[in-house]
Amino acid sequence: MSIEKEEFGSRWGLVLATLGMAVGTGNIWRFPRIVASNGGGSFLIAWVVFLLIWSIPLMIVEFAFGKRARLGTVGAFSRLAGRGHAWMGGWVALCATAIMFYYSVVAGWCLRYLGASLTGELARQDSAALWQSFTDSWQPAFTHLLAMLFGVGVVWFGVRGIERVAKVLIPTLFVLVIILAIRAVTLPGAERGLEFLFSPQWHRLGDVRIWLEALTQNAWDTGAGWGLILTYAIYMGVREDVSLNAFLIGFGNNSVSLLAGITVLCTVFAINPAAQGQIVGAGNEGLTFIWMPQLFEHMAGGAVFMAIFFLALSFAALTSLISMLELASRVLMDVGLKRREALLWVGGAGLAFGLPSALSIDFLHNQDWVWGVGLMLSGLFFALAARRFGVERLRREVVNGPGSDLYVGRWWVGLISVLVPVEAITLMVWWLWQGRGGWNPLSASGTGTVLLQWGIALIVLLLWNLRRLEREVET
Amino acid sequence: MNPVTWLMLVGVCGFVWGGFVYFLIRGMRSEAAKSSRESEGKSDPLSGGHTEL
Repeated sequence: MSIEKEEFGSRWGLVLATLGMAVGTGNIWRFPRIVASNGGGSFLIAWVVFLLIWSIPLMIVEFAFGKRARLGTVGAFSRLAGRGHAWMGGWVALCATAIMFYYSVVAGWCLRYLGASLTGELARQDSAALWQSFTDSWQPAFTHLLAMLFGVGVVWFGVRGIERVAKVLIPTLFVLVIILAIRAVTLPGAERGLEFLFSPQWHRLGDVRIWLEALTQNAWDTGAGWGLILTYAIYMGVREDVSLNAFLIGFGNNSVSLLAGITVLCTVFAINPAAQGQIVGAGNEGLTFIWMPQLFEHMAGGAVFMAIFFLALSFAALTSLISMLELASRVLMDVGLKRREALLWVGGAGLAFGLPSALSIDFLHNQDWVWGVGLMLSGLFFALAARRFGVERLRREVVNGPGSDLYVGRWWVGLISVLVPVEAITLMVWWLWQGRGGWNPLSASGTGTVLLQWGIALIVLLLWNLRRLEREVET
Repeated sequence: MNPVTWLMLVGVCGFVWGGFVYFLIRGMRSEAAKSSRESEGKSDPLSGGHTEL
């Protein structure tokens, strides 16, 4: 082990870096679409509930694990839950790293569209044709390289590098989304968007799908259970708070989602209300890269706001990418690699394994589907590992330990011990029961491909863990 | 917009944004208290200022 001691310079460095991790493209392009297609106000109620009973409790676990173990996901699970549970930490790292491979491609798309909005290319061309020609070309591979170089360049300088970048990008991102939201709500006809977003359809609260979508959205956009918060928490001070930071980041992240929802839906309803069904049904890329440019074109000062939109999206994507690179690098650093050596391996792997997603959008969708759903399992593993360590002990010794600003009561023990596992298992059973896309393992978006890829990963991780235990017994 | 929609708008935005601002202010106050204690040279056994949640 040759890890030099690194630490965030201040609480705000940690908070901004973690907010940068949490606020990603999921807040800006997924939340508005999901809220619009799941009953608006009814969905928002369920979404707020799961912020409190899924995201924040798991964020507290992640902060506590990182602060206590001072190791990446594999080492932390091994140290806190027992050596036989290292494979769970391996799963968490694998999921986040597999997401990083294609997330860099998505960050590259955002950079490409930022460039196109700044040069006026987006205003001159039909956005659907531009998207088609862009994704059919080699350009996504080049923008993937640019995004990866940016991420590696930041993580190269350690947590202080991450902190410096977060201190600039995150406050700027907040200002940008506030500007966009103000512009959107002041458009003529924007109140129809607000009405659509906030009108509750009470009967839909009895629909299990709304609750499951709300849980999934919370898991996706807060980053709870991804292992990324754990990774940043390694570098928090000994007397740094856990619980207040978790609440601050959970509420901060969802504040950005709400602003993005208001921006997108008010813009849609003000500019083209007749097409709202088509727009929200267009998928993440369709909404962001085809419809949003078309809507901005019809807005006074639209070119400026389009550039602001893609700048915000790029910042959100890049700060999340940085945290994923740090997570994977940290796992390698724990086994003895130096930071820059580990980072070069991770960056190289990211570049290589991201290429199929850069060149085939179907491959990217497949990976998004497989590892996105895998995050539910990651959240479950965190709760199970906390149970193994002792949730009450974790609360007493770490969460309410030195430096704590908010005393967390026993309610948290109940949530982590019982409710979070029940939520995760319910969601997993629901996915399986639905059998979306069929059971054929070769189908790109079915349940079969998820089970096949998970199965391979889990078998490899379990065998590795078994071999590791055997080697320890031998020595 | 009907009154129920207004209520939802104020309730959801108030809760989420209000919560963010509340925890941000708590964090800032806590940091200010820690720095002032440090500048006075006092030890910081548990940082103080616990709020039960």
